[in-house]
Amino acid sequence: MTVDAIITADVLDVDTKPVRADRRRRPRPWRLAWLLLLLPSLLCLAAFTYLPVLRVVLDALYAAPHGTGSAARFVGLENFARVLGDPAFRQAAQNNLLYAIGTVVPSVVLALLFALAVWRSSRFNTVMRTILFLPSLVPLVAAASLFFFIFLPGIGLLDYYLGKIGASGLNWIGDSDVALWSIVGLTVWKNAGYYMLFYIAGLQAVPRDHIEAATVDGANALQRLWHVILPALRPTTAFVVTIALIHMLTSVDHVVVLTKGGPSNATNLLLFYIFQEAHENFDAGKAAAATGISVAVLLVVSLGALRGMDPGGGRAS
Amino acid sequence: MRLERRLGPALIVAAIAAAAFVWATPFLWTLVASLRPESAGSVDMASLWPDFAPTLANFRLALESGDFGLYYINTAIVVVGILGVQVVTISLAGYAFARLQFTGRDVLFYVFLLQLMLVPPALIVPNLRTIVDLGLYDTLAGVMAPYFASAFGTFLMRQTFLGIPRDFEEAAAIDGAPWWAIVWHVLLPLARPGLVAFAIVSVTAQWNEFLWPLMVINDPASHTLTIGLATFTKGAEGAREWGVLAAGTLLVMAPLAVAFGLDTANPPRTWAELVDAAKKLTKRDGEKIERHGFMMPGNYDTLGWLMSALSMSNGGRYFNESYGGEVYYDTPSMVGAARLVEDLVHKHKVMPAGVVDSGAVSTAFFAGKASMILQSTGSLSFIRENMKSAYSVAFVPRKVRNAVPIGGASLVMFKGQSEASQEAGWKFIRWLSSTEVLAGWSRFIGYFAPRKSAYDMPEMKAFIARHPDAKVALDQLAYAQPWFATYQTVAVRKALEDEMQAVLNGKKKADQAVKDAQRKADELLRPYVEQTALKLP
Repeated sequence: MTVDAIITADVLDVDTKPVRADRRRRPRPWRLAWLLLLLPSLLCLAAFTYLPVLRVVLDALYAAPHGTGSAARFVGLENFARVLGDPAFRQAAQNNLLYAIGTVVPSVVLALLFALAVWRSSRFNTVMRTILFLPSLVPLVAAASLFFFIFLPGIGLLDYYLGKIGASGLNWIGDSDVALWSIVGLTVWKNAGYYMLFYIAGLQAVPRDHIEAATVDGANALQRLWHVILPALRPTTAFVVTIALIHMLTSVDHVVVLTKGGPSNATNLLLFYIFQEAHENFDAGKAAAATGISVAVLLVVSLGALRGMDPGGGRAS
Repeated sequence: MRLERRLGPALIVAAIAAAAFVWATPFLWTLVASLRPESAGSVDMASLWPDFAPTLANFRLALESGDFGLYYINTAIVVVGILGVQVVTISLAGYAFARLQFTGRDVLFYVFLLQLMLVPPALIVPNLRTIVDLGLYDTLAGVMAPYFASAFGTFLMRQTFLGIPRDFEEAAAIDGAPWWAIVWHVLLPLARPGLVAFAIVSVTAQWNEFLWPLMVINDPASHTLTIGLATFTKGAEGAREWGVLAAGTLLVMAPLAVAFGLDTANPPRTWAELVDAAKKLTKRDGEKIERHGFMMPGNYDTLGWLMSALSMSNGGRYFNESYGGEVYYDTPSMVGAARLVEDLVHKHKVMPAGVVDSGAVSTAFFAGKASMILQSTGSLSFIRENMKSAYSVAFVPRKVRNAVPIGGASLVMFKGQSEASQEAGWKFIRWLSSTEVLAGWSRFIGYFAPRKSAYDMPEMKAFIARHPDAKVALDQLAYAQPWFATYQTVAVRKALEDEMQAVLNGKKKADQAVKDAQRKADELLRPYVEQTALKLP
């Protein structure tokens, strides 16, 4: 079953039942009320999502080589071919994939562990929660400036204390084998506490009697976690994974501040690649084609994640 | 279970406390560093232990450099403004999708969901054009507008409404309440958890937003916190900001040089002397290097300038000054320059492997972790103000000849303006390039003044007498070469930089790197070459 088919089933499923309810007693809003309610959103979406996408698609089909003075001409899929043939794009895509997996998995797992440890209310837990959440309050661009000093070779925070215990540090953001993972570390630090917040809310909503019933049945802590708590947290996990994936595509402030995508493109991510093509190389066609490709891929990924957030889907399991 | 009851809680507390300590370390360091008297760089700058008399000077400097009160207000306006509008739009749309029946509802819902991934940061380029067309450029409303609708919020509210049993509404309907009263009095209060979850996501996202406001806002009075902070930290790291104005200048740390028997009055003038000095000035502790003999920035922008300086010093030309379609990467002069860098890192091991950012190079110099650095002339004043021990300044070492590419920026005026506006533009350009202004800038950043008349001014003469290092930069002008400009300058320069970064990382040999850089650059230049040199009548 394709992702789309699953979504269709869910969306339709949720509402078919209530429709059959007694029609007479249901409130009857004005017939065009839906249009009125959707209009504010639709106007904004049209101006800042639909029309820009059309613009991007059109731009991607035309080429106007910068600075050569020739007019834009229709080139069909040539820009897409140029992007896909560009090793820097392929590397940015590969980096983005590694970055997404390397960041989302540990930060979501850590968020869950943090939440399990501190979700009950106590003074100690409140302090722990606050500390773990603190990095979310620092804008990414500021966190990156802070980590510039932490990663400083030889004299930065990391190397200074590694040196104290006799280990020699690495060139954290200057070594092409290490740089991407340094960026990953910074992002996990920044986001885990944020995702923890949603897990705490989720845990507080897990029905206590379910957990107690499992305890009475002799389930140990791990079994309760695996069979009762985690299934109940499924919608939360889907929600957290979705926002985490969106972060992976849409925030590159740390790359801008720390590495500009280097060394040798080792930390280049899709959005920064697009930014470079558009603003450094003035290649609007290539930037538009790269936008189209990355958006299409991630649209599919996030629709898949959204499926799990549907309360119908969540409760069925 | 027994485990959980006895050992479990203690272990969990210990683990979470350890995690919290790790998480808090960057903040602890920030706090300590912000109270530390010297801030540009020292060996113990990373210490978490406050073993100094705390000072508030850094805060005073920060408050003087940026209008943080204003930035806070602007950010608050943006965050609250966006959230306020969003709450209305997503509640209305969420209700429509959850409760109303209309043709094409499901299709429309998908159309909404499209925005989930097509969030404004991904559509920065076309959105900026829209904002300009709407006349919202350089306004906070322009920063906010693309976020007024939210597919994510609509989805969340639809799910929340679907989770509320219909019985409540039906009871209200029986009591004769109109549908909008039901929404306001029954549904919205019940939907609070959904709204709160969305508010957290929205506020955090807007608080973090950087790239979009950076593009929309120009006026400093409308800067948000993130932009203010970025501008400020860039200024504080000094050399990183002025680094663009590259041209090389060699700095030798005098006390060290004396200790190692080098003549400070005669810093290395040739490549051979440079390698020799770098070897002598590298302090080793077994395999570990305590202090590097030589460092140069490897980050984009600066690396390109320094490589062109080295290749020119090797007698090369780097690019065709008269024709924008040719660069000379795969040439003996550039191969030599690339091999020099390769040898300094991998053969002589006097320079750290991998890329070291321009700001980090200056910091290492201040902290005594680098004996000699090759840095932009534009960072000369920053170094003069922050370097505690004596040092001297020299030309870029030569192989075949003394040479250095000059940098700078162009003053540009767009065509198609009114006469009054053109006149004002000229007036501004004349003022900006006047002797007085250029001399002032030169003293401020350390780069030489582009007008010779600047050096006839008494202030400038006094300045040069006081700072002999500034004179070195001026004297080097006699050997200046034109600045690097080709078709697609940045991308063409990046082609070489990517390859040289691979050399610094030991991933590629110098000879292969310049070949690959040449191939990439030629590919970038091809559209231009085909339209010009290769287009025959």
